[in-house]
Amino acid sequence: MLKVNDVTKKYGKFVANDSVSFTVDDGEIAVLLGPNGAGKSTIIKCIAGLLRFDGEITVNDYKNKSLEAKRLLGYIPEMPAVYDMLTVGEHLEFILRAYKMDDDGTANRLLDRFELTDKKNKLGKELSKGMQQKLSICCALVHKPKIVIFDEPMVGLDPHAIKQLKEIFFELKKEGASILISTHMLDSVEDFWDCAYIMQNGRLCAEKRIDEKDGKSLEALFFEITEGRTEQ
Amino acid sequence: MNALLFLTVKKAKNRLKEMLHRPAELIIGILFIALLVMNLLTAGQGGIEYARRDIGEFYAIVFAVYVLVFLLSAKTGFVNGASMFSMADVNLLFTAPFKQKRLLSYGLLSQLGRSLVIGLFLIYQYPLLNDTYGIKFWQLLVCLVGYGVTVFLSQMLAMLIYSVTASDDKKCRIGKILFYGISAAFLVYLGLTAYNMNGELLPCVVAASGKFVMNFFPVAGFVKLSVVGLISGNLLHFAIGLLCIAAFIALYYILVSVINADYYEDVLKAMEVSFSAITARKEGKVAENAPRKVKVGKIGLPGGEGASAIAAKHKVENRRSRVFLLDMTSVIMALVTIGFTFIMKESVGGFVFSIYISLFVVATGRWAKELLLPYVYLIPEKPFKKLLYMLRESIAPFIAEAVITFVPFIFIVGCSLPEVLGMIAAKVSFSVLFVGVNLILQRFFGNGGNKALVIMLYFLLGLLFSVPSAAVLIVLIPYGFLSFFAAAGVNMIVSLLVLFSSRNVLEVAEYNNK
Repeated sequence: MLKVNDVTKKYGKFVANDSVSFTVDDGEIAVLLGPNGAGKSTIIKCIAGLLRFDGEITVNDYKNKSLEAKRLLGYIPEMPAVYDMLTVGEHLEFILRAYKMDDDGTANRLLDRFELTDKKNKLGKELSKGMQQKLSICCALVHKPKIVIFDEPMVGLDPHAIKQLKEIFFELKKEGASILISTHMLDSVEDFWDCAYIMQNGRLCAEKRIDEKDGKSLEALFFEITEGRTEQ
Repeated sequence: MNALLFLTVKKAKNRLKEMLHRPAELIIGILFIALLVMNLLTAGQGGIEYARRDIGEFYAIVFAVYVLVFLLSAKTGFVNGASMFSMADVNLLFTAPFKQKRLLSYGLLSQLGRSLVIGLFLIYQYPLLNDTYGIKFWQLLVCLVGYGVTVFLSQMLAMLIYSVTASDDKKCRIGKILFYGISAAFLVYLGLTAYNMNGELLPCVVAASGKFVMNFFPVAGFVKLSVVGLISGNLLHFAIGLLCIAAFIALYYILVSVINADYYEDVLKAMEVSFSAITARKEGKVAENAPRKVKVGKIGLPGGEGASAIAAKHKVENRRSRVFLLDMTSVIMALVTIGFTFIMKESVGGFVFSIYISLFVVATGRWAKELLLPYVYLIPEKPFKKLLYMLRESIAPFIAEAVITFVPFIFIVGCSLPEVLGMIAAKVSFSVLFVGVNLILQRFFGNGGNKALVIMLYFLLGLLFSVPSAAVLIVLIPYGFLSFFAAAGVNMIVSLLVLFSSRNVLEVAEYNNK
């Protein structure tokens, strides 16, 4: 379970996240929505332990910067993060070694799913941006994290990879993982979310669960908050 | 107002305005100018009459600097060409109705401006050059202009080399043979001429570098001939130098129009390469300084688990980037130190000089790139442990550089083996210390912060942290080689403290990705 409790992140006087609190339960897919500059990536980076912040973030009850939490966490950054001089296969080998894990075939399965098997011996720098994004996803998943945070994961992916990624969301959910997906593309998440958090100006403005029967679509709620518009 | 002039003026004006909004930058700017003025005012005011050295040495130094600038600049043409435009220039100016030649001139002139700003470091050498060689300020300014012209012409050549060789390996090989062959021919001529003079090495090398033939070393020789001609009052030499430069530019334009019809496109390609590197940096990635064709070789990491997997990964990356124990900078630094010691005939002076220049060029290594990707923060290991493994790959090159720098001291100044070993240990310890200082700055400024301020702080901290070992060295110098080992020991303690204080650099990325 991922718990974000009263997190505030400031850059000088600018408040990027203002008292943000939410929870993603085990086996739940939460989406973090908001326009550009709403503070989604900042809170994602705070969760990943990349930024300092005020407040508390726990990963299965461990503080997010503890080694235990890091072992449980998978993070897919907005910009693909690959090493120019490592091959695709070596990226996964590196992650497994760094996390002190043996390869039980997960690495190859992930490469297969993202159609990277034939690129296994290609260097990171030889990959297109889309392929680098796929590799980034594989790197974040190969150590079988229990909490996975995705920052705009579908940007730059081809339709096959998007399909695979959506299937992976469901599989992770089935395995009991907590998944948080940050995006500003509403239609990319409309068919699989359990819980949606809408952010604007660094604040969490609304929360909506899939089983809520208020008659409002997620899109309507989003525009109501971000543009002050109500559904016709 | 002409659009290109408008753009240039606006950019400069906005740069100044921005400076006013950034107090740190403003302070640095004022300090920079104040130091410059102080330098100019205090030169030759010490009341001490120095014995002037042979002015030929100064001309040889000017020539050496121009040759170095030319070689380093022009050879980039074999890798990615030179880019003097920004991507905004490409998108906005290249699509606008400007003549290609005007745009090219705009780019080259902007580049010349930037080169001159970089070359301002020469001005700081004024008091020293005034005392040693009696150089006047206007003469130094002429040298500075010569430096800018050398950079400018070398970059033009780099663009030409790139456009001719980029798409053809055979042409690239031939180009390299020509480029390095011509350079080597001049070097051999210099060596043989000096050898045949049968005198002391330094005066012979200086005299040989002043031979008229050496003025035909591409670009650097032409510029040196003009500069030295002007500052020594030999207007014939000045005119011949200018003629050579004009001939070079004319030949350049003929080659551009005859050989390559797609010159414009190649410039664009070079810019895109450079732009993607800039974008990559903005996106938090550092482009590898990799060869054009990477040989993948053996697949897989050579062991490593947990934090040590980082060191194993570095081994693979260095092998593929062809980063071996010694890079060109280390070799040049070693040669410069050896040359200095040879002239001074003094081992401790040579050692101090070596440490001094290493402060300027201590390699940041692969760890700086590592800080820009998320993995090193995410790996579940203690930050200090990760930090030590991250820095491990730097140690062997430090040792190698120290060995090639100080072993020749045995032959040049008759150092004993224990002394050389002591110097090696001390030099390595200083290199580690300077990496530690770099890390402290990463800790506080990350990749953000005002570059000039960060560099100034780096020098200040580097000097400050060197004080304990320098004191030990001075006190124990009568004890010979032991003083170097003692300084190394003190440095290692300071370095460990510095590294330990920076351990949290791997705790959160925001220290580094500001």
